[in-house]
Amino acid sequence: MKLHSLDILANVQSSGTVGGAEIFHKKLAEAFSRYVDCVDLVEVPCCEDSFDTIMESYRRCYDLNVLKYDAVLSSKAPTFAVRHPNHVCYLMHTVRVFYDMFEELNAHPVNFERRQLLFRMDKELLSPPRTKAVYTIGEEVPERIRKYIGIESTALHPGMTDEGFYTAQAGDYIYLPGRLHRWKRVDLCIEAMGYVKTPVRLKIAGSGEQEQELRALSANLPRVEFLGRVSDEEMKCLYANALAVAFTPLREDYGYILHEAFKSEKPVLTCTDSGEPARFIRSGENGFLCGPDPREIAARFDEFYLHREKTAAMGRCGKKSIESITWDAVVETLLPVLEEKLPR
Amino acid sequence: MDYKKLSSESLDTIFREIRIRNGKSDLPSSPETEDQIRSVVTFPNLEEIDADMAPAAVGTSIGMNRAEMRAKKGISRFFARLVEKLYLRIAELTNRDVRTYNSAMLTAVTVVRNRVGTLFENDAVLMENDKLLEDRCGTILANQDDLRREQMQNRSDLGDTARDVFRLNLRQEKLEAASSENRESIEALHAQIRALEEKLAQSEKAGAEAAAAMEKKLESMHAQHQEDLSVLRWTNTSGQAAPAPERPSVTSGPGAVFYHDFEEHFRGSQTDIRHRLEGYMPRVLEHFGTLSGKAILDIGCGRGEMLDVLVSNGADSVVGVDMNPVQLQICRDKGHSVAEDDCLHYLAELKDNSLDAIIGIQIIEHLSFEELVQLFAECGRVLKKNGMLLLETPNCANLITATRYFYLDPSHVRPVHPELAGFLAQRSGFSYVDVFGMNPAEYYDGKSRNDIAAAEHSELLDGLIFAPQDYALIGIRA
Repeated sequence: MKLHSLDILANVQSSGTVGGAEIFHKKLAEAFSRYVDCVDLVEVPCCEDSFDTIMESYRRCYDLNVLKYDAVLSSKAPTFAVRHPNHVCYLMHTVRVFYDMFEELNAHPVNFERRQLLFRMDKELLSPPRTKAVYTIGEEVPERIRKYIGIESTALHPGMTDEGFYTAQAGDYIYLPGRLHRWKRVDLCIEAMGYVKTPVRLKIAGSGEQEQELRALSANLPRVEFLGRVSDEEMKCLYANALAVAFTPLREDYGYILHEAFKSEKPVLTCTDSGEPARFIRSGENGFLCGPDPREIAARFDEFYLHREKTAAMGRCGKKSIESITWDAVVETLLPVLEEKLPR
Repeated sequence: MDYKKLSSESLDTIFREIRIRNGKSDLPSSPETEDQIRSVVTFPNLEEIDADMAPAAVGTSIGMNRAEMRAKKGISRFFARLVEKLYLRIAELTNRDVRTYNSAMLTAVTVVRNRVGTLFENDAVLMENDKLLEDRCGTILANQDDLRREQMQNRSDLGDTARDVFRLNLRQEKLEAASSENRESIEALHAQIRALEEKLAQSEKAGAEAAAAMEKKLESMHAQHQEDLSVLRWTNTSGQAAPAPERPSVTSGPGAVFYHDFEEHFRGSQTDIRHRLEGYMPRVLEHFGTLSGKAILDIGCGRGEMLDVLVSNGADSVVGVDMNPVQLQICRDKGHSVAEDDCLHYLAELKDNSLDAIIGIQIIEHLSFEELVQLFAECGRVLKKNGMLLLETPNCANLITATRYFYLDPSHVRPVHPELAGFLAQRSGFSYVDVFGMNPAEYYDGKSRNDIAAAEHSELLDGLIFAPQDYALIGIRA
């Protein structure tokens, strides 16, 4: 049955920070409004400061009255607590500190009990009849929620959050953008620069809590350059003129950097344990996949530098490999599910 | 909130609990209105309607579209045109009513479309207004509330003042009446006090005699009690009496890095330790069946070898406690849940009957006797019925351990004799206690038992008994 009205539920941090999630919701609503007459983006204020505020945010979503819409599409925790007979979840992530980041919490028995309660709630909220189907932004999330709460879901890659990437003459540097955080493992690439045999350079853009440490690490490596925070235009230019892009995080959920690199026709080097990005790389075709070992990474950096033709070809192949990932494809997958057996 | 209990309740019950806890009145599960929620509305596209209506407008000019008739030539074309013209004339006559109706409908649809367009625009304006009005209403209501509160406050203040004045007047009258009475009664009181003083002196004398007798009796009772105590069996029920003393700082604080390096150097590789600890698993698994869902605490978890072994054997809620932040980071990196705390302090905060197993590998030799007693008592309190306590410590029955290795670790306090450990466990609420040897010495001086010939055995023994009584250390500064 044709869908006339759709409510997309987004949670906004009470702190008011705007990040990837906010842009994701906006793009999703825009894409759906090309297909459905009335699309509302309802923003629920949520707070993850403590377990109590998490529970209160769940309650807020649970008590939300959205029955006037034909369908509801929820995104990340706790918006999927909403009650609607035609509810599909396009999950970004659950409350991660109680899932894969549990070791970051203080290991007090009460946290185990809290986790038990949260798992029990998530499991029922994400199962039929409360949720018709669960889609996730990548392959990492389905594995995680299957492992922890036994919920089956399908990966559905979202489109880009930014446009206007282009390609230009490849320079002599490997580009490494992103937040300088322990989980992003920038140190792997810096250490690799100690083993390279060619005069390839490494340009690191972005800032973060690990910056001082990383700068110290690269003190004796003159070909490692820190650019600090760069503007959107500069970033696109850096992508366009790069030889290749390095992106070696630990268990990344989605990783826009890989998509941005591919849009700029650059091959990507990532690690076998980097999560979602590793699933996109066919080593030797559109980039390289190697173990989290600086020597191995260094060998690949040299290979990028020595075989420029092949490197450029890999970049073009990369662009092709993400061609089918668009916002329209997302809507065309989700819409039939939302329209299926619409109760009237 | 009792999270554990809630976990087995229905979702409606869980959310009712959250509602009550957060001060929302427990309404039936009617969903909340969207008062705090910002909403972005997109209207249907009117251009699509326009596109649909465009071909309809063309249809009003009926008879304008004539067939091309390329296939027909000459006379047949002339006749065909004639028939066409004739048909169109007739059609014009017969379809007049239909055409009038169609054009009227088209006009009506256009009017409706334009109206809808303005309605949407109005709607947007109205929504803006609504929002503004709501804001104003909010401010007005808030102001009104403030005013009302202020008024109430003023009224009650006024009432209070009037009442106070009345009360003061009353009290003054009473005081005046009372003061004259008082003067008389004070004199009478003086007389009474004098009589009482005399009586007191008499009873004091009697009291002193009684106290002396009582003291004698107490002394004899105390002696009796001392005798009883020596006969009583000692049961370790309360370790809390002993306050947690300062811990040796060599394992934590500034000594953390030292102690980590020390263990790396002397304790053995993580793989070796894991291999040794794996030896406990058959007994643990035999007792529990499965480790899944068992709440297990590893006190003094160090680099987390026991945590590794437990997890690889199916445990999923294991917590490690240690005081060494360097080693705890190693545990965290391996994905374990750990807390930086003194194990006695950590145990003291746990509820009775809350754990399935407590494991302490190479830890009790680091405790003073008072702490040891407290540890056993806490374990007895915190473990569930049938819960398991597993401790490992250097065995002083091995001559080499007792004489040499034990003293290698500067944070060791004293060896705990196996029989003392067993006795403490028995008196702390453990019904089944087994003390057994582990990790037999396989090598000495780099040689295995079989490698050493009988002659060498006696030589080694000789060396142990007649070993130098002291050792000295000389260092040359670099």
